[in-house]
Amino acid sequence: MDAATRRQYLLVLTAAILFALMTAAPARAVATGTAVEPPGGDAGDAMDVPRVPTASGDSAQARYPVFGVAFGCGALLSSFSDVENAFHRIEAAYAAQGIQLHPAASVRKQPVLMPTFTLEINRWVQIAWQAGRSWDDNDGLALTGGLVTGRYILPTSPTVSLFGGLGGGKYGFKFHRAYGQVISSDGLGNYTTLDNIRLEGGGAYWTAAAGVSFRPAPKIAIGGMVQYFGMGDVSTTTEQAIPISLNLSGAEIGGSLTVFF
Amino acid sequence: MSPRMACALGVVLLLATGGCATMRRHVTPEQIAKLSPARPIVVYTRDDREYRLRRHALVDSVLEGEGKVVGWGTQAPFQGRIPLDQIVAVRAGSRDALKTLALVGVTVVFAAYVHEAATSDGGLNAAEGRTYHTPISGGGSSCPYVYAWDGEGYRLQAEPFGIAWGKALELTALQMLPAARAEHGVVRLRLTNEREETHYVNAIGLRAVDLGGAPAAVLDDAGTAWPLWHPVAPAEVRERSGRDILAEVAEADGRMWECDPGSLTPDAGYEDVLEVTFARPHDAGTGLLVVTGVNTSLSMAFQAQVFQMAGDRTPVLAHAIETDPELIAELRGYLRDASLQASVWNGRDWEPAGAIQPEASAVTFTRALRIQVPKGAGETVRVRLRSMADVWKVDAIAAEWGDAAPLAMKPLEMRSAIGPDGEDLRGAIGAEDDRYAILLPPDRVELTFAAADDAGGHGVAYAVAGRGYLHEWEPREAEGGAAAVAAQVPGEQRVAFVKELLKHRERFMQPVYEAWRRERMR
Repeated sequence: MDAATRRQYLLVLTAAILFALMTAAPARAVATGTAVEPPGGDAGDAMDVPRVPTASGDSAQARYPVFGVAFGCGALLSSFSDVENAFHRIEAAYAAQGIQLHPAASVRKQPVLMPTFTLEINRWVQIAWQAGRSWDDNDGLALTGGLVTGRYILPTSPTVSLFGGLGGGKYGFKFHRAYGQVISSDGLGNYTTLDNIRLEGGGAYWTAAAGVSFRPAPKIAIGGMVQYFGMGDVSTTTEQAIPISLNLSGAEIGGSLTVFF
Repeated sequence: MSPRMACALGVVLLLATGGCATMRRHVTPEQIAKLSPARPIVVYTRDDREYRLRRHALVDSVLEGEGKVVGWGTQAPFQGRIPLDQIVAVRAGSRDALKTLALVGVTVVFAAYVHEAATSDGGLNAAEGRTYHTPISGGGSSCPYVYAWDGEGYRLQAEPFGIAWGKALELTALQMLPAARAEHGVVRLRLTNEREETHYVNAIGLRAVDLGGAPAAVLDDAGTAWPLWHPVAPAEVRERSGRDILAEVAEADGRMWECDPGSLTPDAGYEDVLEVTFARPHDAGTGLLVVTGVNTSLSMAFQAQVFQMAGDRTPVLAHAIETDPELIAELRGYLRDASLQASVWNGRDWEPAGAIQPEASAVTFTRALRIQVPKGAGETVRVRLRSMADVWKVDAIAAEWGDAAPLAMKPLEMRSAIGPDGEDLRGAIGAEDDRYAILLPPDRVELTFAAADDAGGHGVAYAVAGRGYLHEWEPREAEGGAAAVAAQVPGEQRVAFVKELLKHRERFMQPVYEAWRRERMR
């Protein structure tokens, strides 16, 4: 996805979330029996309000399951040294043939953008479907998978909860480097250039996550999380018969905003 | 995941969440009182029953309704009353388009991301992209070409000394390289010969231009770099016929003005004239006239005419171009006429303001001329541009008003210059001296220079300085009127004949333009 498309996505998403926040804000849940301003939105004609209060307590049936959408943003903590080593090994193979390639540029890590669908089963368990992406024209990592988290609400502060979870999914990657150098010539004016080297692939991952969530309002949660993605080695042999291997495992740290429906 | 699947996912999610519905909990009598009686609700009570009411009404301290009651594994029709003090919560669906928009927005992004992850092949694939190049035979423009590495590939950026026909016309051309980018501490250039010419490269150098925070820089006719902060478009531009061409030259968008081929007649004097009018700046006494454009290949038709007239005496003519002062002066005169000559109206007369030489017919370039804002010429600044007809295609004309100082420029160290046979050419082309690298098609030289240090963070642009000259190869075969003329003039007089003809511009250029016009009309 190019930068313009990325900007479009972000624009649409930001607008959507802002709208959602504007709408969600008045729909505050209140303690049973407490007199509050009536919520807007689905009001009928005003009626005389009875003086008898409703029952105290909570109803799990009324509260769960709760569906939500989240948008997260974070940073990858991995250095992707395997990727750079792989390019340098291929360059070394050319150098052994007397062709000095200009060394490949380092991996430019982009922020990880992560939209997520969440489903709170009850007050302790949440299921999430994540789709993460750190991508530009040359370097990219995309992943999608599930995450089941357990939540512990702080007794002293019911709006704050700690959570931890496990999950798994599928990932894909691409790393492109441009060279544009002549690698062979026949002396008759015909020659071959090495335009680029591309490393692409994917596989399955497992993940573990932990973080903290703050609910300033019943329909909104703001969270911070560290998530580790464990991936197996992927390997191949290049056209120069050089074996290369990558392992893209690493952690991501980020935050998210969730809107519940 | 395909776009179709993404749409399907979005629909499923919307259905799963009840279309545009969002659920709200109502737990106080005030909130319950506000519910619309016609909208279904679900009432949760202390005894863990769930009342799904199609209709309901709040009467005193009870909620009357009709629907179903669910609980303890049973389900039964319900019509009756629920005391308020037994109600834990009430859920009511409501339409909320804005939340739906949020959901759709996230779904679109989500689907796109899932697509990338889900469609990746498993494992690792390492692929090398290679291109096989064959020699280029001839072409419509002049050489040599300078390509600059932009991080992704080499981009054609400049054509130094393409107009230097022989050693006597050897010149140094300084040209901006907008695409050049430093990578790993070096800037990479490629110099190529892609035409049937012999190139004598005296020197190739790279200059770093300190932008001083300006977004871009432009070179003037003397090779001085100036900052471009806020170039302004003219208020009016008209060609010789009076046609308004402002839309074509208001901005550099690739839409070029070029002369009407129908006007290439002796009656029109083989001349293009553009009259450009700017609103007068009130706070500047000087400015830059900035022209972006490209040259046509008319010079190739001119060369063909000259050499076809010389016929088998072409080597003698080539020698005369190197040594005959009269012929050299004549050719310089043609070059001057082909330049874009600017003059500014001072209220009484057109005052010469310099000229921009032709320099490239394959790559669009930008040049500037320093001009004085005339006093007493009214509320406008009028500039006239004239040149030999159909030498220029103009993409944009602009003015940068202000008394800016020139930008600092410094030469950068040449790190390597690898010739076509892998030889080190730094000695031959590293400096302007009497040593040359000779390039035949399809020779190329791979160059690297030390990148500029932008310690001040002002931004750096790069410019290439190329010095040298070229020899056109003999035409493969003489044809047309020029060949017929050559056949009638004795060989030993042919060069003198060409010299004499060159003195009569209109007569010499008439067959050139005839051939050129036919070419363009075709």
